[in-house]
Amino acid sequence: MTREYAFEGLPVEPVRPGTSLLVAGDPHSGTESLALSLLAGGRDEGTVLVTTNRRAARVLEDCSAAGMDLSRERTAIIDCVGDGTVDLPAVVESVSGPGDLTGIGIAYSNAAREFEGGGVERVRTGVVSVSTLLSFSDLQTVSRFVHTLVGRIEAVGGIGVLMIDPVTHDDRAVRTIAQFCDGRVDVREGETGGELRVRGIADQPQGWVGFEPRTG
Amino acid sequence: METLCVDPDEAARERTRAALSAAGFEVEACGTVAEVADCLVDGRPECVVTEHGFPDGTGFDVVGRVRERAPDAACVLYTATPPDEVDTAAEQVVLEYLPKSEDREELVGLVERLAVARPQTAYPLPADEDDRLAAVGRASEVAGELGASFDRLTELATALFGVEAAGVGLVDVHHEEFVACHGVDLGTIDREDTVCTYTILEDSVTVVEDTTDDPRFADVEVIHEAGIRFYAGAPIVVDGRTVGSFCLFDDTRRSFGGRDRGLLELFAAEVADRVETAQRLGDRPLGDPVGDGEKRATGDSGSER
Repeated sequence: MTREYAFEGLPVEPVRPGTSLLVAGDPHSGTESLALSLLAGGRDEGTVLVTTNRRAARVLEDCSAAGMDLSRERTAIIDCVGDGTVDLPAVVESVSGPGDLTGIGIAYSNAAREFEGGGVERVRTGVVSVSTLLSFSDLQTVSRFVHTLVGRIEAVGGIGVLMIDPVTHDDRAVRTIAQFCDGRVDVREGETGGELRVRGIADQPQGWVGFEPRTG
Repeated sequence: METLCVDPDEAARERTRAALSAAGFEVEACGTVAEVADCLVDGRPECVVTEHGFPDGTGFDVVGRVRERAPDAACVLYTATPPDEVDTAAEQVVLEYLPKSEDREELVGLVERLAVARPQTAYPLPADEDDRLAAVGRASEVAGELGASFDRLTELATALFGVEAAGVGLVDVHHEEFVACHGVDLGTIDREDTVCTYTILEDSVTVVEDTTDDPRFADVEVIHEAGIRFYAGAPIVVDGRTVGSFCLFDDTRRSFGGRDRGLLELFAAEVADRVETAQRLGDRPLGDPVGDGEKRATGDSGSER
């Protein structure tokens, strides 16, 4: 059996290859930090991150703070807002904007192929965030994009972490996006800090549990 | 037709066709965007493999034309054009990108995966989709003979709930086929355009009080052209698989209470019972008017006596 993906320092049990998680919560209350921490794997793993509303350089700082070990051989950013900044510890593929789902998909395929060609077989894929995509495209188009992306992740035995801010969308839209994913991680601000709850995945902690967002 | 291959380079097109045919796919092929329409006259492809550059357009134009007729078609941009030279800024076409190579092995593997997993639909698929589709196929075999019976149920439902229309729909791989309707004639609708696509994901009644206010359906023209503003649907479960929905429609927004939901579930259960009964009768051997099972149940063992 292929090795599961583990989440060091987080109250989330390892998940089987091919799993995609929707991480739902306020991005300013630890949700984005949690999503990036879920994407931080071991030295034999690669990460492809689609950033929809912040430049690659800024996101990479947060990735590093979240515990991600960055390198051009194992880190790729698909940047929907940047200008092709060079000299970053990652391969950066720029697309014309968050509405360019075609470009994001092609850039993702290209990055994943580069990893495969370089011998990186285990890949964590992130989208931060689906909320921005929904601001630029209709639900049906974003649904097809998410379905396609999740299908690729499953086919190559990777894992997916897709972030969404549920407050900014109709519940039915969030529920539809969640239906494409294997599980959902809800995030909230508890009395003593961030709390998460995993649903839809077997053998996970029950109910809300506290977590410490890594900030460097 | 299972797969459509579109490539202006005849030699490359034939290599792709040969590789996909050898893998067991039925393949149509053409060399221009304009010719795609001719290929779609007699069928709708499950998968499209297209080059990007054409004298009369792009691969995105090919995908656009195909998805007008086959919205669920999985599409692959199989191209010699490098990714950074594909102009995507004005596009919202979701597809797979694969660099063209002499060896078609990777392409065949991708098409095989797309054919099985169907990961480019714009709607979620039930977890038991393959088994569910098999159950839909079996239900369709008896649905025709039950049409008059279902028509009566839909007429009763419109009267009972005070709605404009009601229908019995079976959700197949790409369509919902309404095998009975009262108050509206829906016929066959693409799966991505019907509310029942979401109803079959649930165990209980799905209610959309106002389709114009629901992000899943607000932009779906077919729903609004049919005058469907309110929708309530109960899953029809045959032999443990959800094959479709018993649904109610109205042209005005309305609510739907707990008692109504329970009654609507009874209508769906009635349809399921009639399907299962018709299937059992259809399985009975010729010359066996009551069936072996019933003989055993009544103790009538015939020649054993």
